[in-house]
Amino acid sequence: MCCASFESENLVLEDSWKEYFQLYAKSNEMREKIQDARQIISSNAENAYIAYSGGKDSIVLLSLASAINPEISVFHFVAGKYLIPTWLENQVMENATKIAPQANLNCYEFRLGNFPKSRSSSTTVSWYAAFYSELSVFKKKTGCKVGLIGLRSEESHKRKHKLSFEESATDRYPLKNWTWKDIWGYIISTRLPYPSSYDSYAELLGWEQARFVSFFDGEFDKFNSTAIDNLLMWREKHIS
Amino acid sequence: MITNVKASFELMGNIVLGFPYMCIDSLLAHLEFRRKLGDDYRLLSSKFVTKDIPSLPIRRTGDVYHCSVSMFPNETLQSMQTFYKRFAENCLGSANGRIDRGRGFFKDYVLRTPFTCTDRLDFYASLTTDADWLRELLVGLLGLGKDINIGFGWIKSFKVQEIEEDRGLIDPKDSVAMRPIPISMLKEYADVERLNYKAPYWDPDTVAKCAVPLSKVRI
Repeated sequence: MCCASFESENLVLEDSWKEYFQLYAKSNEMREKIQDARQIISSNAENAYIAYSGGKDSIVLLSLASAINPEISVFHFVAGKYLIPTWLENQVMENATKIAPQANLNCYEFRLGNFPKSRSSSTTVSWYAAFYSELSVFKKKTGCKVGLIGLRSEESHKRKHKLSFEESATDRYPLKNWTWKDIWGYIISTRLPYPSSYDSYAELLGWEQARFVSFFDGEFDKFNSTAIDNLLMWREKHIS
Repeated sequence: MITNVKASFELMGNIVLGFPYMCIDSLLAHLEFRRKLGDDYRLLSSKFVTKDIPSLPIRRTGDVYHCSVSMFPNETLQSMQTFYKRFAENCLGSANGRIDRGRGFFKDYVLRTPFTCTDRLDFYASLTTDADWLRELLVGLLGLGKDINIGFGWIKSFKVQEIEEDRGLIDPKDSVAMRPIPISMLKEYADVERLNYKAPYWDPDTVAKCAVPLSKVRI
């Protein structure tokens, strides 16, 4: 007999997937992509920062960049407990410290994210406004001019379009040609830590669809993401 | 008069749930409300919201009905279904002027819905009347869960059988909660979370620290 069948605890990557990603990581195609990404990072390493969300792409980017510049500046925007649960935010911070122990990690907080209202789609504008405002403060503080961003063309048509043009003066996209298999291949083969929510979401959605975005967020209602969050993150629905 | 019952549904297809479990007492309250209003129920505005939940002939402890949440008797599997809705001329009707496909009635969408693969669902209740009350109520129920209009959760048959023990609140055999129970009612509990514990389950005012269904408790 069961009722609460969607438990996120104690789920681990299946052996078959682990083997698949490890094999994929040995492909020539992926080696070339790693080489290309390293080249982009190296040519901007002096005054670059990493935008780190805690998701799989920024984990890979942080790992690649910290191998080139261990003391690289990292910008992290804490979404608040109503959008990213505290236990998961702690994992994100721990992962950053494990991957790049010497990095200059700078955290800024979306204060509204600590109130239930932040889950409404009407606060999306405030989120982006606060994000760019804090990013500007961070850039002034650290003197960083170029952002290394983990956006990938594969993620959406909008991003594909955005990344198909020349890179802007302020942003570089070292992972723009990476696929989800490249990302997971790198994470699994180099044993990088990743947020545990991926395990439960991938079990339902598949590894290609599992994303790390704010939970119960009205911004993503158009994708019916709240219905999925209700099942997988039901413990976080009524946090106090 | 106390009648302890177990209701079993045989489903025609998979079921879509908006939460890991379904609170059956609110479903019964909805059916009772529909029965009391008769045809007038259909005249209610879709925006009519009421917190006046009809009282049910189910045993209560405090505010909590002895009515379990939905239980799947077998192992279940979860999966996703994607729905597409694109503009269709035959939906045009008498519309005139500019048609917005980004919002409103003609909005196109791609929606992902998680569903549970199961062909059976059970619940338990302790009634203060006879089991026929429940049988008569459930006859009018076509399906369970969400998205019934597109074929999910349709009921093939149901069976209400009388049992000896009250398993609506706590399962006496394993001492596990059969529904969210506020911890203020419990002496011991193993797993606590903030959950709605009474209808209406969408109302933030009915949220309290509760023992999670199927966790060990002692009342």
